[in-house]
Amino acid sequence: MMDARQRYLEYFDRLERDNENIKAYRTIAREEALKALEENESPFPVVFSDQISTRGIRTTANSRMLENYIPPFDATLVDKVKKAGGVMLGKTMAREFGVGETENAYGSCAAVAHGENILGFASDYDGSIHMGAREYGLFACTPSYGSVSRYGIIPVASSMDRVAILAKRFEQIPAALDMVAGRDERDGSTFSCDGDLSELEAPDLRDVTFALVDGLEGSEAAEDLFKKLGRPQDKLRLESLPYALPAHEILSSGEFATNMERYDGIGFGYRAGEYGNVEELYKKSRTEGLGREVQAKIIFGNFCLSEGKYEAYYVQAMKARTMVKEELEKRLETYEFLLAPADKRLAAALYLAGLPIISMPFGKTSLLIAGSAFNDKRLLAFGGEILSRLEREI
Amino acid sequence: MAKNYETVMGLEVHVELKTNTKIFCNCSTAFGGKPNEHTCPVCLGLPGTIPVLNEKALDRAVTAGLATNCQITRVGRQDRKNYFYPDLAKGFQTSQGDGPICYGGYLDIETTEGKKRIRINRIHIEEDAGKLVHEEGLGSLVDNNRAGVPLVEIVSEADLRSAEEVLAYLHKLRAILTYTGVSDARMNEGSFRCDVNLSIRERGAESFGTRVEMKNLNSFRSIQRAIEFETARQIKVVEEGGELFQETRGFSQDSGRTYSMRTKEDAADYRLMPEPDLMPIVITEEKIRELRDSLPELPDARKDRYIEKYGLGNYDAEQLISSIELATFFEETVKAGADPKAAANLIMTDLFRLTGAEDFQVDMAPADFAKVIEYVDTGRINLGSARKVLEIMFENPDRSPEAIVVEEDLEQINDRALLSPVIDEVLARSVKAVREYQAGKEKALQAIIGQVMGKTRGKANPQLTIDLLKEKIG
Ligand SMILES: [Zn+2]
Repeated sequence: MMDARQRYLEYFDRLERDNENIKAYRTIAREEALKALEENESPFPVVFSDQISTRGIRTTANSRMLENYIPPFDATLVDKVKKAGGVMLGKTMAREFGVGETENAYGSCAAVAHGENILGFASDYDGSIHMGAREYGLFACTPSYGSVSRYGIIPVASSMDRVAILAKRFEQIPAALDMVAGRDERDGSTFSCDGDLSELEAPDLRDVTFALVDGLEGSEAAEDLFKKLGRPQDKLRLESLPYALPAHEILSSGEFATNMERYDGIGFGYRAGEYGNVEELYKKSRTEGLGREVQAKIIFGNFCLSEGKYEAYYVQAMKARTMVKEELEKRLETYEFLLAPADKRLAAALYLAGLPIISMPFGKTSLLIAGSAFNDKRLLAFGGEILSRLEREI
Repeated sequence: MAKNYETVMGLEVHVELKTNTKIFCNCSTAFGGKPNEHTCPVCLGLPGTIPVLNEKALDRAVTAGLATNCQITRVGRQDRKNYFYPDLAKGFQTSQGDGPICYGGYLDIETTEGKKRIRINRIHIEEDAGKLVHEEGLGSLVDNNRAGVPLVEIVSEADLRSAEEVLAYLHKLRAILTYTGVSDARMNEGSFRCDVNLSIRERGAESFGTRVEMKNLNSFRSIQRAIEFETARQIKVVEEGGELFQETRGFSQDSGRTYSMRTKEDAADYRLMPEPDLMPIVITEEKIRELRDSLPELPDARKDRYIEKYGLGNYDAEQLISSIELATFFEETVKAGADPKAAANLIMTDLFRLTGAEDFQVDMAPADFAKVIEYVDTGRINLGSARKVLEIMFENPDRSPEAIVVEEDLEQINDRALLSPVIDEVLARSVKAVREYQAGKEKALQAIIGQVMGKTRGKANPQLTIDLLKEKIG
């Protein structure tokens, strides 16, 4: 029998050959992984997107700005995963600071797909990770906003940022969520969730109310899957959906712009080589250190926050957010779960509202399920049951 | 003919809250320390870090509001105020825009014009920034020890009309803050800083003039001088037909002048937005009740007590309550048996001369101070010697008044037989002064008394000296 070390060594050899093609990793942490392997009784492989702070390991947010940034601390979720036996294979690619140009926006998905039982943790602010998961045929889960600490995740939009869990097999997800969820004193938005998520009770589908969200891109494919459940087909349309993307864009850009103010070339991060005065130091460092798309989002965000524009854009967007949130919450009073295709607008709406999401791949399409806030445990149990039913049908 | 102008002022006072740890992290707020000794990923603004509000800081802010008759919000909000500055690690300061903790309060001041109520617009919490240190050969360095130290900004309405009122307001505010333990409010350590918004208008006018904000006023003296200079400057500009600009001005202690720092055109757009990393601040009725119940006796109540119980005058009482250290010292002295009025007088003349009225700090025991008052009262020493004793005690609080009087030979000469020959000797050498006095020049007598004091090294009983002199030459 091959021992664990040998298996990891062989995997790293394969990974180093393949990474150029799959464009999954920014940093492969072979030495650190082998060390962690020795320190753990039941190790399992994990990857973190490069926007999640890892102590002693370069965390670049995929940007020149943080090219040489080595955090002096672990993100809370990294700390928890490590303590549970997680062996970090490396840091995966994503968009620059979560929004900009990149070689692969879904590096985490590529990394998880490349291995057999790798768990992926990626930060996400708009639900696009579920599109990535669909592309790579993976299961994905974004727990309720506030159930997993954001401490140490380099933010895009603090009020929307969440960590997404990625896996090849659905049953890996509840255990992974269990590992990272819970109140963190360093993140005031977190709540403690009680109960062991790994022990899920499968609900009887006849007792659960759920409906399909209609009028989205891919709704027909989702409906085909839905039909296989042999249920009366409740369908609904979300009236506020047209506001979701604009509101999401304005609010996330505003938050992003201020979150990015710290990258000024003074404290840390990239500093331009030549500058005449401090004003020029700011301008050059940011122009040279940040990509075009990141700059564009900062400029748009600052525009929305600027004097005279704030009321017209930002305040309106906050109102739209409330509208979207209230409609979703109202729907979730009637139906415990909403089923849908992985649609960009719906994802944006769910991220505005901070609701928990799971998505499951079925061939080229994927089914997304959302529930009410902090109903993560039931959502996972329900998802598991849907999955086993559909697998039997297909 | 010059018109009659009045100065209109409102104050923004930044006060450091007395907490052990910073507002959003667990770093120490201790003053000083090696550069960046009191920092962590949160107050350095490292990527991914999140602020968590220090409940103690919030309590202190609510207490400040309760002690200044403010309304307290039930749900407050924190906002990001965005601007680039090298001492600002995150590129924004977390402050409060529309949802301050406290609003709509007031405090009463006492000036030579009498009593006046000054309204407080709002009190909000915010974080302090770091500090730039300019080092020869190294350029500018950032020290983030102050970054994230909790502050409140206390904003008054434009109710103040003179430098005297401004100083009275600041003293009263500082008293309230120190009594309630909200802050140490030390101007020399920067834990009590004041910006003055000043404009002028013709007396009786309804509308306000163009407002100038004055910053970098780091002592009460500077505040007074800046107000006086700026008022005169603005009047001169207007009188000469010039135009005033809305601007921020600094004050130079050396020249005694204010100078333009930036005009309204260069003012930053702070792009205020709700801080998404911090939850709304919820303040319960219960919390407010608890903090209200734990308020100590406030300066005004104490002042009333001094007037009623000790028979002090309004002005004296106001002086004594201006800091908790001072008021406590006064009360301890009275408790040790001293006459309140005598104690008040001696504090406000001799102790103020030694320690300054603004930062009252003495190490001598109140009981020893009471002893000095007793010695004066019983005639053992005169007031001049009392001053000497106090000077010695101020430097060496361990030396007892008894020892000082004996060792320094300060006992008053109350014996006619001892004093008479000294006076004779002085008179013999002051023929001219005696003649002048006898010709009706009262002042000449003072010169003679001075000589007697000099001869006795200040120990002569002044009254006895006068009596003897009058007997001999009057
Ligand atoms: Zn700190």
